[in-house]
Amino acid sequence: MALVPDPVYTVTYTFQDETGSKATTQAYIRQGIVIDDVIARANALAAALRNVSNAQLTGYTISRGWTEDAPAGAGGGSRVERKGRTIWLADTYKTRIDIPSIATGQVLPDGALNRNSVQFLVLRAVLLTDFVGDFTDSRGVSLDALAAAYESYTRTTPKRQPTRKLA
Amino acid sequence: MWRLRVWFRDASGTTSYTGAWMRSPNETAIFAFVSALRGLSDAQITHVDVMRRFPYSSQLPSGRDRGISVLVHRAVDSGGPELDAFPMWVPESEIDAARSLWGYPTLAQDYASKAGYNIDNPAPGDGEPVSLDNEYPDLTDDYYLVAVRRNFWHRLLRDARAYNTLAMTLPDQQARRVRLDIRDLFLGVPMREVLERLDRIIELLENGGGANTDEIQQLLLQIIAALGSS
Repeated sequence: MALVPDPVYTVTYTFQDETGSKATTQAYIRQGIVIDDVIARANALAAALRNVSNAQLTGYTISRGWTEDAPAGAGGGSRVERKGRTIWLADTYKTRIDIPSIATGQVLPDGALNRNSVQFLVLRAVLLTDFVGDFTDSRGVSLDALAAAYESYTRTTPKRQPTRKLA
Repeated sequence: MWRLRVWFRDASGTTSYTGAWMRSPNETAIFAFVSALRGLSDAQITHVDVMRRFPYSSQLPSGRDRGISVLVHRAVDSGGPELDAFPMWVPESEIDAARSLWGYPTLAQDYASKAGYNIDNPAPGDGEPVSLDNEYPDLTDDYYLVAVRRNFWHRLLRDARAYNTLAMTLPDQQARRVRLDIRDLFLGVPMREVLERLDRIIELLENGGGANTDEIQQLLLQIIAALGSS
């Protein structure tokens, strides 16, 4: 059971013409090179695309994925609507990271998450200690403290409904 | 900032993801985060992705209806046999400009097909078919270019069902020729004539079982003749 990386970085370029119509095109860059080089190559291709297209190149997105090669299967009774909601502080701002289908053993009788469990301490260390500065809020400010952790529920969107619906 | 998403699937098959922001796509940090989530959730983690948007300062739209170029480039495994093809769409471009896109060997380094095979240094014009009467791409071509006018392509997409029906209505060999001709339309073809005849064909096909196949074939032959004379 391991996460297997996709063989490439995907670069998706977006265009917009004067009628407002938008279009995209994709290119791929081999993985195994540092991210700064990937950005440099995406930039180089962006410059070339700008020269060959009359539309405005509005930007591009670089993405990379990993796929679980041997999924062990979900636990019995697991439901992703049952979230473990964690709120983190980045400077004075808050950012949220939800944990789908939080294990019931992590939830205390009052609905709070057990912040002292081994598993939760690992998550806290990853976000705050082990990779200092890597995990941020959307502004790019590093996470520096835990503000709240509790069980929460969210409704399921139609697209994500179970494949088998019970009557 | 980079957006990290970790995707889950629960016992019912429902999927969901959780996201985190990162300063850089540090693989070690990503794997540590995923490992921590595994300990906290009883759902199955299926995949992980990370992405970042790089916007340009100028968002003013420009250009109009100049067509779309499609580059189809071969991809190989370190000088080995051809293993993959890499199609790339360039909106609002003219074919001469698009032809130069891959004309720089250094530019092509580290670009790959979706499956991860190398796009070797392409040589512009190497084996590239230059007209419909010339030849269709073959195994010796490094790449070839197709340009399709925007409106024409949109019409084909809009009625893809009729397009498929078109291929099935005709004898195999002729249907293949028509598909190749449509695929390989170059700028400069008298497009209005082609569109009018294709519209008529689609009308006939949409009438169901009453379609006059003789008339369809005649119209298609006219299209082929028009394409061949351009």
